[in-house]
Amino acid sequence: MLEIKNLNVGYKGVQVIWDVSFEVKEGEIVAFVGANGAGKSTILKTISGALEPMSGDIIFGGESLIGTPAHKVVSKGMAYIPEGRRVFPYMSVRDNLDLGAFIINKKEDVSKSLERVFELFPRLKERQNQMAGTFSGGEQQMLVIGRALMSAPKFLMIDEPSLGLQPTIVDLVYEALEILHKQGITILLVEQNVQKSLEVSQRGYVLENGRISMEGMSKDLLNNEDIKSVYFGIS
Amino acid sequence: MEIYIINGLVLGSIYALIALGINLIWSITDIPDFSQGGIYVISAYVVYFSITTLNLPWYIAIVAAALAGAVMAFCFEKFLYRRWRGRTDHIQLLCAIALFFLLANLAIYLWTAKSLNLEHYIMGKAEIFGVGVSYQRLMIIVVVIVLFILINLFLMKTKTGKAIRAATQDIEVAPWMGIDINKVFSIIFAMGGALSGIAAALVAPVFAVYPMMGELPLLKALVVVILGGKGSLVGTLIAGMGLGILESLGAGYISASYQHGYAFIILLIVLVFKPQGLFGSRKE
Ligand SMILES: Nc1ncnc2c1ncn2[C@@H]1O[C@H](COP(=O)(O)OP(=O)(O)O)[C@@H](O)[C@H]1O
Ligand SMILES: [Mg+2]
Repeated sequence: MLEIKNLNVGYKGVQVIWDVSFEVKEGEIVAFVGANGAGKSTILKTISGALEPMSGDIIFGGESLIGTPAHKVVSKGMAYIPEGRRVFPYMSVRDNLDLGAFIINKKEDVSKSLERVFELFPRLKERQNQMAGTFSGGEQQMLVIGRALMSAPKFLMIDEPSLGLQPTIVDLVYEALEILHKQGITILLVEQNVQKSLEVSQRGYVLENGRISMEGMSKDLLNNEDIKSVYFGIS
Repeated sequence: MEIYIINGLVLGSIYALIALGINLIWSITDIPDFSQGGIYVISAYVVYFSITTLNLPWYIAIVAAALAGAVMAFCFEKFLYRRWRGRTDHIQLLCAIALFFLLANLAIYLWTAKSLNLEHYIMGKAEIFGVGVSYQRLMIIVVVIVLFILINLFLMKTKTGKAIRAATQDIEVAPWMGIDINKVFSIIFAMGGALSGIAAALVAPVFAVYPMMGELPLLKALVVVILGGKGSLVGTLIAGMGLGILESLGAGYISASYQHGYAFIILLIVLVFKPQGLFGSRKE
């Protein structure tokens, strides 16, 4: 579904991603883990079209996304949830969700997506008219996931969904991701929460200083001694 | 007293209308678009010649001014400001100020500095609180209020309006919804230019048409945006009307010689005590 080939990315000439290649197959959940500053968000931003890579290729559904501006990527079936729970704060929950369906023109399709989101997060239905900026962190995380689903994507990229959330809410968010996965959505997940993300995913990549240092089945990575010592402080 | 208030409302409506466009632009681009002052001047001439040379009816002349304003602002954004988008060195602001002076000077070059007068679009007077008010002045107040309501409805209810608000609230995230930021900018600038054009068309018969006519309304409109709060339509309308009334009362009861100073005294006081503007920084 998604294939990244020899990706190099930088900010104003300062390179932060070095020769990264990986793929996400249809139906998978793939996790990218790594310390703060490793370059995880940069990779997602580049795939989303917001950053232009210095070199390399991004192939999605058989076609290259290089040169495709961010606002055209969503209509290819890809939704991106950036880190930081970026709701539109001065708009209602409902307006936020409607904006997620900006590219959908048929009213029936919008209501179908809306129903699906409300089923996943009933709380959003109750709070439809509330201003999104007044939501708690957990509610905002539900809202940005819901908003991304409104375009009915087949591929979802999500950045640090658990950052700064209470454990019960983290569980809720991860349950939602598993439900979406069962519904057939392919997911690329980026996390500092190594444990959670490797538990939910099938395959994982470890990113260190902008380079992939390890890759494999998630369950193998979870048991890997190096990962245990670096990310769980166990030696 | 009533006459000052009504005159103040007329003046304030114009400030508010120019400020509305400037506010929409400022909220999303972070540029206080001085060029709107120049667009206002050129649009006033467009109205003047539409009526005098082309013999067009006044309502067509207003539409022509709106179109002229929209086209100018659209082009300035598309061909100039856009080049420097995202730069933090105020180059866009400098460009906007340059455009303002260029347009005023273009008017001098093309039509000389002489001041031109138009007849009222609608003749006659209404009696309000015992004061005779020309229909022309009443029309200004009514048209401005109607435009505020229409633009508010557009921003709150339509899909495009919501996309504009989304982009204003988070310009980085909006594209991931499929919103084309370039289109949003084009629409906002065209709207702002059209509003300045309409403002010019409304005042042309009341005040005169001359190359420097844009200076004071521009500066007052910038003050109104800050007083009303960036992103607040209601704040802009109230601040505009309020400033107009204060100026008019000040000119009537204190002294007309300081009329143009009041706005800046109020601005300084408000900035010291409530830097986010009287109506906060809520983006609507
Ligand atoms: N907008 C930016 N401008 C310049 N450097 C940036 C920017 N965003 C991130 N970086 C740098 O790129 C590197 C990778 O950052 P990021 O992708 O955010 O990492 P992660 O998501 O893994 O924490 C870091 O060194 C960071 O300082
Ligand atoms: Mg990150």
